[in-house]
Amino acid sequence: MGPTALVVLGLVTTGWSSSWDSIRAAARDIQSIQAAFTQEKHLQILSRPLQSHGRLIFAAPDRLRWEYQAPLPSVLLMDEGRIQRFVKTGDSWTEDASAALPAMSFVMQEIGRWMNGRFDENPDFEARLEPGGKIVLTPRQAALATVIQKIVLQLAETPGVIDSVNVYEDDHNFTQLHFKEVAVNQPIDPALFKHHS
Amino acid sequence: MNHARLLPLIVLMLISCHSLPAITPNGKIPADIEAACAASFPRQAWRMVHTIKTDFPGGRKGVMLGVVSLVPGKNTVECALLSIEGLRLFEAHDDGTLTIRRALPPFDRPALADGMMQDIRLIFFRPEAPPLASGMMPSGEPGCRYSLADGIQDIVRKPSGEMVIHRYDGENRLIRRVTITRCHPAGTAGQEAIPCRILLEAFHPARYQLELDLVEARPTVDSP
Repeated sequence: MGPTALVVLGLVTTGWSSSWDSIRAAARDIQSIQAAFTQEKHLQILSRPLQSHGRLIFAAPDRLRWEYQAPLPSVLLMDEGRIQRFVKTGDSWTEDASAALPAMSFVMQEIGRWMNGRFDENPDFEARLEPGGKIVLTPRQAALATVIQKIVLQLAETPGVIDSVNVYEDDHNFTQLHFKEVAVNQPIDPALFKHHS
Repeated sequence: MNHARLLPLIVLMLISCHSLPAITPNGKIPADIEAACAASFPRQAWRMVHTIKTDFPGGRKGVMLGVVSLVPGKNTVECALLSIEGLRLFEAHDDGTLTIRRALPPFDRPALADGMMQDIRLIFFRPEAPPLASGMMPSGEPGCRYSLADGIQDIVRKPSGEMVIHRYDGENRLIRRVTITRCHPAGTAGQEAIPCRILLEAFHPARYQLELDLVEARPTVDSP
């Protein structure tokens, strides 16, 4: 690949992620996103990360389905501000009260902002956009920094799409999410956000 | 004092006095019952991940992931509670002194951390002192009784292989019942069996129920 091709490739991959305005503009074209994900939870007290996988479905402006297929089948739903989680116990699905924890509400609202390209609109975080479509969110308040040290998001080449999310709780404990098989603006059954199906 | 005045006092005393089930040295008591009671608990260091299903009063249910790293030889334990999505809600270390490393609401109440660590120790650590007695329980199953600083602990071996722990407080009230099914998880051939399925029923001071199912386990050589 010659220098000219590299420059062109660079423009294609970084064009939509070069500024907050271009990121928001790209997000406005997103009506839905579906993706598979793999997650690794790194804990200081575990010798190797805890792995899980599932699917994430988003429909603009604020509906989200965050589904884990393993190790514990569960689905977290956000629809018109209401957050519910259902967990598979045996052959049946049970609503889980822990979805109402304050920390989960905080996380879900933040993901809702990201999906709308509003990475820099949470007053609790300072947002920094780095070359190559890398976004670093750092807590403004010391109290929040004891919970989350920083969040690093890597934007994908496809406009409006996130490639990975790393949530650092501290130097030794962090979560890595990688998205794959991403489908943009495909029709989505609204029932997927109402209850488990 | 007449009998009419004595009656409520006697009733109150009967209500407040609890008695332990009798343990008798009769029947077909296995010769190695005391060794079997002690061997019901992990002897080597392990790191385990369980799903934890909680039943609260009022029918509310909650599910989390529990991570525990224990070193029985050093009497130390580390534990963490995670949301299903991996958010670390609570983490503590206990080597005789409880150190809370992280506690997000509602896990930031000190009594909760103390209670959680006591439950973990009840499940995974055998009592330090030798049994006070061993023999047949009223249920006809062999068991051991241990004297603790603040109560009594009975360990019963079921014919099915399950182990049942009954924990009584200083007033002989049953405060915990734990039913443990042990197994050899995948990838741990040649290692000791460990608790795979655990049902913890709490009766006092708060009533709740926890169901733990093993996700993965690894023996460790390094200490927490």
